[in-house]
Amino acid sequence: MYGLVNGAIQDLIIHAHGEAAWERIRQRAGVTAPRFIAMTPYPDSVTADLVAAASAELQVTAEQVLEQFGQWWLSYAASHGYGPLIGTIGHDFVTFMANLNEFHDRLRSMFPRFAPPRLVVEVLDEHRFHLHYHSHRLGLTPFLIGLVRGLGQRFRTEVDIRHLQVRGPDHDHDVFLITHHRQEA
Amino acid sequence: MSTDFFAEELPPPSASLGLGAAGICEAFPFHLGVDGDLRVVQCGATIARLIPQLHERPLLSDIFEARGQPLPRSFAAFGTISHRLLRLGCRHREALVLRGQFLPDASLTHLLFIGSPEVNDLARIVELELSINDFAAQDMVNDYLILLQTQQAALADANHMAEALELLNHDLEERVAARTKSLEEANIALREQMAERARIEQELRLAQKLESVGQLAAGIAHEINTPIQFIGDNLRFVAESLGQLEQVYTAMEALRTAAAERPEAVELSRAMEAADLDYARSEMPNAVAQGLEGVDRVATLVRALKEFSHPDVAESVPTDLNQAIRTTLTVARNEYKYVAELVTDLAAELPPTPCHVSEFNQVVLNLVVNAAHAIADVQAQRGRGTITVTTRRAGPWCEVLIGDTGTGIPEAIRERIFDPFFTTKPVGRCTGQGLYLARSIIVDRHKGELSFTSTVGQGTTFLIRLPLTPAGKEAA
Repeated sequence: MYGLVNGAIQDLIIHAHGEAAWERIRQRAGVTAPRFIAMTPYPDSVTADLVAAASAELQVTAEQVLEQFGQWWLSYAASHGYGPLIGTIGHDFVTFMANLNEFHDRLRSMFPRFAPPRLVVEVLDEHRFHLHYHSHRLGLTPFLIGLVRGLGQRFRTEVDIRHLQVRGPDHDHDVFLITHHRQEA
Repeated sequence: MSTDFFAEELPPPSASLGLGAAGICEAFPFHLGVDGDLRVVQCGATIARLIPQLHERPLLSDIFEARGQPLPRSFAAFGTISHRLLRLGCRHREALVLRGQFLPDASLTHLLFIGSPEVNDLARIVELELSINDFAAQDMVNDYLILLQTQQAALADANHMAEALELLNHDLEERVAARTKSLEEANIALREQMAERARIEQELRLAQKLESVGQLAAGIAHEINTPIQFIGDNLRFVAESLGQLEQVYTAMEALRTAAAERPEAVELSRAMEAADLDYARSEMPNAVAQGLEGVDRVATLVRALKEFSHPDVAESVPTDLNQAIRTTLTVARNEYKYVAELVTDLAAELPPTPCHVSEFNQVVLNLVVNAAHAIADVQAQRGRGTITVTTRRAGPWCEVLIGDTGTGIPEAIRERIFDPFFTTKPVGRCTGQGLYLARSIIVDRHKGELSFTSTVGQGTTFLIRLPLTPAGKEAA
């Protein structure tokens, strides 16, 4: 993971629980650097250790940490210099979700160590689509759920997420049914 | 780009290979199709969304103006600028500038403008409400934007880190400064401790030396005491015997007178004259008396030495301060007898005072010796001076005053005279510890007071105040 991701976890914990909690989590995770460099790749284990340490320190499940992190992610990236870029992905909930994969593809072509998931939107009707989630990483579906919820907040859209298909021996990827209704202004 | 290139290097383009209108719209979402009247008759979906006026087939010049050069006024004139890079600014959206080129279509009845928005920063994209799927997939604008954004973010990150580094540097400098200050303070404390240690060591050496001198004095006093004892006894025996011999001499003289003519009497008279017996008879009692007086003085000195050098005890004991002072003055006599007269006024009713007598003696000795030195310094001008030692009771205190008619203490050094190692005397005459130790003994050890009054040119009087009870100071 790039440092930007770990930095977002740090930012979330400090924002929600304070500097002291972050220090305890950082030490528990065995992270020595006081902060992460956004465009430097770090081993995935660093992110996993941070999530595990946060789970232990904050007495919540790792899934809860990941979902909260997913929800936090876009607003963090937007407020740390990537707002305009995120703005080009789409101007509404569905467009954004649909363009996300292409955006990832473009990023991957420029950053060889960037290994994003593949997200395919299959529109069912005006208010529903299937989101196909392919990832070489395991256990990050809560992050995706948080991300979708965060996007819903960003575009003032009520979002309902149902995990239709779980990746396993019979399925190579997860499928979510996303139902969305734009809130009235 | 010229088609000649294909003619030379590759097979010629197939006449049947064409994108068609839909293909052009897909590949060039910002393209414009212009007819012979220079009206916009076709455009890409994205540019149509950005400029709704395009749906009305407007004149190209009503919508766009060429930046840097005027737009050709006739269809034919466009031939002169085809294939050249043009910048078309939208008259209706300030932020929208298209970069591209005009190309004639195969029938030479229309022109195609192939281009895309000029983008220098992401803010403009956001302002135009464009997203990445508004650009053709092969368009490098998206990649350029991503790189631009990443570069900006990385730069911001670097700036942030530089600021953090600067803060850390500043913090480090502050910590180094604080550490340096702390080290300097520790260094000062260490130097003070070393000086204190040196002072204590010197005090210890002095105390050991004094103790050795005291022991030696006590030993010598003891050794002298015995011969002085029998010298005195013998002299008293001689004195008594002289009285008896005088009676014998009187009888012998009567006998010699009675038998004056006898040769033995003549011989006796001659022998008496030769021995100057009359002189011896008159002087011998004086000589013996002086000898006894000297022996008594030696005995007094020896006794004083023994008392002065008596080892001290841990607890203070009720002490006759007058006796202690007399003893000390006896010991110190050699220091002052050549320069000063000693006047004592010791209060007879002085009660026993709790005291470490040996240490008290040392204080009195120091003050008397200092007094003698102060007088000696002006003896050449003023002759012999006077040392006055007075004792008296003052409420809960016993006071001892030791005054001299010496030089007096200059105002400038009065604050420092009790400091350790402070002295105005030449090296070897004084250690600079006397008054410091005196104050320490009186104030710290006895909970008393030591002060002085002085007039330059007239003399100094030190006042020792000792509490009559161990808690005397608090009671006072």
